[in-house]
Amino acid sequence: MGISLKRLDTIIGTRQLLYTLLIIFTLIPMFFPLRLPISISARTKKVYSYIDNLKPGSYIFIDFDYDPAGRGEIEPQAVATMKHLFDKNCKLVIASLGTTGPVMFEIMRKTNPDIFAGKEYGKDWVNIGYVAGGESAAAGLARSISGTVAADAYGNPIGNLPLIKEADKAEQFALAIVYTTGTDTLYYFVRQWFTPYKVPLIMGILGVMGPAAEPFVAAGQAVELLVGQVAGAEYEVLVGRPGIGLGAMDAQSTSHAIILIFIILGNIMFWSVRLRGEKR
Amino acid sequence: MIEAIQIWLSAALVIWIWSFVYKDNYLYRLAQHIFLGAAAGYSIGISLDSLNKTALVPLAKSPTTNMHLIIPIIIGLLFFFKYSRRYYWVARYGVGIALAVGTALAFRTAPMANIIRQVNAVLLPLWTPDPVKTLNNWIHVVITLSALVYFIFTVTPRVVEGRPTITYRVYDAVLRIGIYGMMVAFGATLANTIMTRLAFFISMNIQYLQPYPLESLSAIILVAIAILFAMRRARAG
Amino acid sequence: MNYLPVEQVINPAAGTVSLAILIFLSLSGYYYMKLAEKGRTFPVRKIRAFEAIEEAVARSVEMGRPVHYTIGYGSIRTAHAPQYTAGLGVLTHVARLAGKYGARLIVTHGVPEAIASIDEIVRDGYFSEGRPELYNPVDNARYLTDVQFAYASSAQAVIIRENAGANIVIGPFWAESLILAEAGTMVGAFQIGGTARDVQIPFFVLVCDYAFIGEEIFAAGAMASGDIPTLASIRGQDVGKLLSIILIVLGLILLPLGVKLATYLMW
Repeated sequence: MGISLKRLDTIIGTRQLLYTLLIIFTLIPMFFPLRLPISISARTKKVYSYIDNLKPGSYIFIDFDYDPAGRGEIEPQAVATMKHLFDKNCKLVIASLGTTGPVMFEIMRKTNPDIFAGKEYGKDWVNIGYVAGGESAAAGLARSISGTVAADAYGNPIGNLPLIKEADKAEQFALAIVYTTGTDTLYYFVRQWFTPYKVPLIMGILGVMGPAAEPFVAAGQAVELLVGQVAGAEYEVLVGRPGIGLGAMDAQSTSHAIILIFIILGNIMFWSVRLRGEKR
Repeated sequence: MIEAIQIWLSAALVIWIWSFVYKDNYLYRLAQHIFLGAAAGYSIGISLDSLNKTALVPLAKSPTTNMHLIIPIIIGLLFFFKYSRRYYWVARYGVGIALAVGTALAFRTAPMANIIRQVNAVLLPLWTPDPVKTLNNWIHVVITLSALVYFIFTVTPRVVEGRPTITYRVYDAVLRIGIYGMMVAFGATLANTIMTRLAFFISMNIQYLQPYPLESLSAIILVAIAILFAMRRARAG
Repeated sequence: MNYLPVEQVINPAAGTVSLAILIFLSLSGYYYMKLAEKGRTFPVRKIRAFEAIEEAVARSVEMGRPVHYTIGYGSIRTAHAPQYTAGLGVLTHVARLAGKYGARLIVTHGVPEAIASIDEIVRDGYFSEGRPELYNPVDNARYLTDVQFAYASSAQAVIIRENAGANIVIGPFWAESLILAEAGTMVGAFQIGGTARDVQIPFFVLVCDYAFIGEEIFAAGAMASGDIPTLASIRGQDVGKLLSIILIVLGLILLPLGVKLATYLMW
């Protein structure tokens, strides 16, 4: 045997090799899309049918609250679900409990102008902007939006917005959607929107938050979760508007394949080195 | 023009930070220090702004109704005693109060969120017509109980003269079930995390590279050369 | 005479049962602390990660490399306060060991409220072991920033540049946990990690030589500080867990009998 097991083990264990392969395999499908087929999970279907069964013209509250690093995971979900809601003529009241939310919302709006096309500001949608105070802000908005903030994100007095006159309290909303990268925010909405006012919640979250948010669905506190980029991609398929989510799926598949191969190789090397009695 | 510089600068910073996974180098150090400085500045700005909004402005506007705000300001100022060699102990009172408030806030919702809700989630029927569901429920209950036992530290069966009793053996088995159950959960979390991290990485690429394939290709080559050069310098120095 | 339905006497929205549990747990914690003050001791089950700390410090000294310690970043005024306190508790132990073995201890953190405490703990550690000459406040305790990834990128740089021989990370951690542990792996440090934030435990279990799993950090913090009331509070916590076990078992027994304990608990 020309190359010792130990040597092979070190080569596979070099992190530079893994990183380089990861970079290459995430970049390739970005420039040369493979268009691997994706299947829609039951979870995303449930969110889709829930929104689809809403009465047209319902009032929806949206907490737009993710940080820049979470953009790739959550923006696809937000764009696709908001398109679906606008298609159903729902009226959206958007607010952010996190400081980065308003910036991310403007980026989303600038890069996806088509979903806002034909929708009138103040009547079909309103952006309240950042509301400070965390959980107490969530509680305040649930009690009365006009009582909590004086002006919207663009400086218009809140009393001048027709939509807020129609929908000002949690009871008037048919659904609240929370797009967030912070697990704490989910608790705020469960405690301040679901528990007292029974407003149904849909949570759009990072993949890493999935296990932590699972109990909300089990306990009936949330209708369903949209977890990670995959959920965004699936929703893009359902509403028929491909975007970042679907674009990233090929790269997700190829890079996950690389990681799986390395996990398997690593285990094979670990056990063969161990069984041969070579010291690592 | 300004926008182009912004994009180039942010893309460059992203890549300099990433270069750390290969090796520590000057460009990483530069990016790290820029980041640290910006973060520190941002924190100071946000803190002063919140001090201004929540305490100073209300106090200046109507001093009589907002008199009570003086108390938290004084408590906050106590922290600065840390810089005095003689009176540094005064700072402890500030820390103590901050800690007490944090703990009390955590307490307020703990019984409902962390005990009752969770206990209720485990109260599942152990015999159902559906065998898969029955199995799932059993696993759920057994692992929850054994994980709870794992975290009991002071009530444990004793080992008498080195010989484990039957109670001890049962206890040990329960601990093992608990730890294996937790390991499975850890594995699931880990897999989800890999997904999230890759999504961060991919979305960065989509944001900066995909719209301009030729430009980004040339940028990647330039950056790779720069990083190699910086790594050489770091090794030589 | 008409009796009011029980739902109207006890207001379900008020969370009466949670209040009762809160009072019961506070009283039992207080009771055990009083017992401890009278001299009762409560032996704590062995925690391997805790015992490994001494080895970690001693090894670093042998290799002539510093010990890196961090409690994370953030504000102490949140629900995560107990985890920062546990981190500070274990730091007391590490600082004393650093004094005992003459190790160079580098504490990095992003908790502004803890700057004073950390300085003091490190100084006490060196002074109590008779090695005041090793204490250098600028080198030993480094506040970075309370912004997540800025803190993480600097902490990982400290671990690598100072070539830490041991990397001990105990506190509440978010996405930076893996960054810190990975940096320790890159320099081949002996690593001990611990957090009670369940989402982050897996990374420490995977990457560190020894990991505290969840609540173990509270027990470790109490053991390390050697403070008798704090140690007794572990018994108080155990009572809470025993209560949960009893409620679960009781609920499971009552369920086939048609009694739903869950609804009563929500009162």
